[in-house]
Amino acid sequence: MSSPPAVQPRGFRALVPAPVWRELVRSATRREFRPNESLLVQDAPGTSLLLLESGRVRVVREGRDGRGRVLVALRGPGDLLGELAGHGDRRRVASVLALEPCVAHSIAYEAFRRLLRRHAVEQQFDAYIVAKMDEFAERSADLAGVRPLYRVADLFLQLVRLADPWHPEPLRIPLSQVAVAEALGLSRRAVAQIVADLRGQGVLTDGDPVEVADVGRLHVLAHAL
Amino acid sequence: MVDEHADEKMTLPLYRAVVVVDMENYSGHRGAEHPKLTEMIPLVLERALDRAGHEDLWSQRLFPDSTGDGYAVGFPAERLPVLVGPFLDALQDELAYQDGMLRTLGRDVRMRMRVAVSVGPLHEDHPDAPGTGDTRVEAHRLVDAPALRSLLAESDPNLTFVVAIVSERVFDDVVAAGYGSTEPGQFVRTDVEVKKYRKPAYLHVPKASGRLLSDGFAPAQEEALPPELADLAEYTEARRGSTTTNTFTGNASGTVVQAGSIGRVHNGDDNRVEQRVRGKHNTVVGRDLNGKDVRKDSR
Repeated sequence: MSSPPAVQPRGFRALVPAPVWRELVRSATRREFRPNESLLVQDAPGTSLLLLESGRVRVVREGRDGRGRVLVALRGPGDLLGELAGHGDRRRVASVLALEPCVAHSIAYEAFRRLLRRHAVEQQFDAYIVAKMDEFAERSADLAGVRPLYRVADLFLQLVRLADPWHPEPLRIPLSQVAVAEALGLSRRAVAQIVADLRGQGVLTDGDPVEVADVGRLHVLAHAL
Repeated sequence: MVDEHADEKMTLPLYRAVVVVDMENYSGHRGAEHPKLTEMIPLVLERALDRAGHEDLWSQRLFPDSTGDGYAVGFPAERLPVLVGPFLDALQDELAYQDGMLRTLGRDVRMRMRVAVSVGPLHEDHPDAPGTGDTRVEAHRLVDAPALRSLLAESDPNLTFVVAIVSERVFDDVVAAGYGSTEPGQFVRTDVEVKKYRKPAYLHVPKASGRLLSDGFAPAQEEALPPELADLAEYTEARRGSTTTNTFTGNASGTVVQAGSIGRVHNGDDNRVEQRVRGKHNTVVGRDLNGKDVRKDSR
C-alpha cells in the first residue's frame, strides 16, 4: 500500500532524496502501532531501527530506582527511532511509545548502513544524529528553570509541529494532562491550572479534549524564556 | 429619509467615559461558580469606588451591561481622572481583599481583572441601542489586547489583581495633561491590534509583581513562526475571528431565535422582549413595534 503524499518531509526523511527513503522503506518491515503501544523498550537489546512514517511518539526514559519516567523527546513522521543501536552491544537508552496510531518500518541496522553507503548519504545520517543531540542539549539547558506555563506551551507547540501533514486533527493534543505532568515533572494540579490559564487566554479551546485554539499565541508563549 | 439623517448627523452625542472590565479565566472556573462571580463583578466595582472616596460616581453610572464574564459601564467624562487613578488603585485593593474570601468557594477560585477605559461620543439615549458607538467598541477591543492579557500572565496571581489599559485619547487628555493621581511615567505605550482596531494605547498596573517587575511590560520578543506552523496559525486566527453582537428590542409574539449563545431573554410585564444574541450565523425572527415582521441575519 502506497503511503500518503508527504507535503513537507521532515526529520531524517527531509535530509535524503525521496527515492532513498522509499528504498529504505521497501527494504524494511511495515509495522503498525496503537496509542500507548511501545515501539521500542528501554534496556532491550537493539539490532534494528525504525523509520517512522506517520503518527507521533514520545521518547521516555525511566529514572534509576524507578524515579518515574521523564520525557526525553517527541518524534514525528520522517524521524528515525533507535538508530544508535548498531554500535556494539547496545541496549535501548529509552522507551518509545505511540501517542496515536503510528506506522513505522523496521530495518536491521546492517541493512540500513549498507543502503546509506550505497546511496552515499552517510553524512546526512551523521548530521541527523548530531542535530538530535544539539536539540536535546539546547532544550535541557533552556527549559531548566523556565516557568511551567512556558514549558507546557513548548510541549504543546512541539506536538502541533510534529503532526502528520495529513493529520485530521493536528491541533488536538494527544497527551492526557496526567501524561503531561509526568513528562515535565510537574504536579497534576499544576498542569490543570496551566491548562485552565491557557483556556482563559484563548490559547486552548474550552472543554475536553485539549485542543489548540491559537497557534500564534502558543508560539509566543513557547518562546518566552 | 434623507432629512432625518441629516439632522442626526449635525449633532455629536455627548462624550462619556466607558469602562469595560473582563474577568480573567472565567471559563476556567466550574459552572457552579459562574453565577456567583458574575454577580460579584458590579459589586466589586461599586465597592472600589467607595474605597476611593467616590461612591457618588456609582450612582451616576450609565447603561450598565453585564457580559457574563465582564461588565461595561459609562460614566460622565469629567470624572475620568478618578477612573484612571484612585479607582484602579482601589479596585486592586478591593480584589486583594476579596481574594481571601473567594477561597471559601473553592481553592482555585480567583478574580483578577483586565480594565479598559476609553472616552468619546456615546449614543446612550438611543432607545434601541443604549451605550453603543465606536467608543464602546474601542473599550471592548482594548480589554482584549494581547499585551494586556500578558500583563496578568506575567504577574503573581497572589499580588496583582488589576491590569489596565487606557485609550490614547484618555491618556492624552487626562494623564499627560496632569489630571488624576497617576503620572505618564506609570504608563507603558503599546500598539493594539484587535480585529480591525489598530491604535496606540497605554498600559498601567496599580500593583506590579513577578515577571512584570523583573522583565517589564513589553511582550516577549516575537520569534518568527516556522513555515510548517504558518498554515495552522492562519487557520486558528480565522476561526477565532469575527463574532457579532445583535441587540433586538421590540414586541414579539412567537419569537424564533437561533444563536451560538444567548445572553439573557427578558420578558417584561409590558410584553417587551429583549434578547441579546451573539455568534455567527444567527437568525433572529420576531415582530417590531408596528407588528411588522423583522428578520435579522447576522454573519
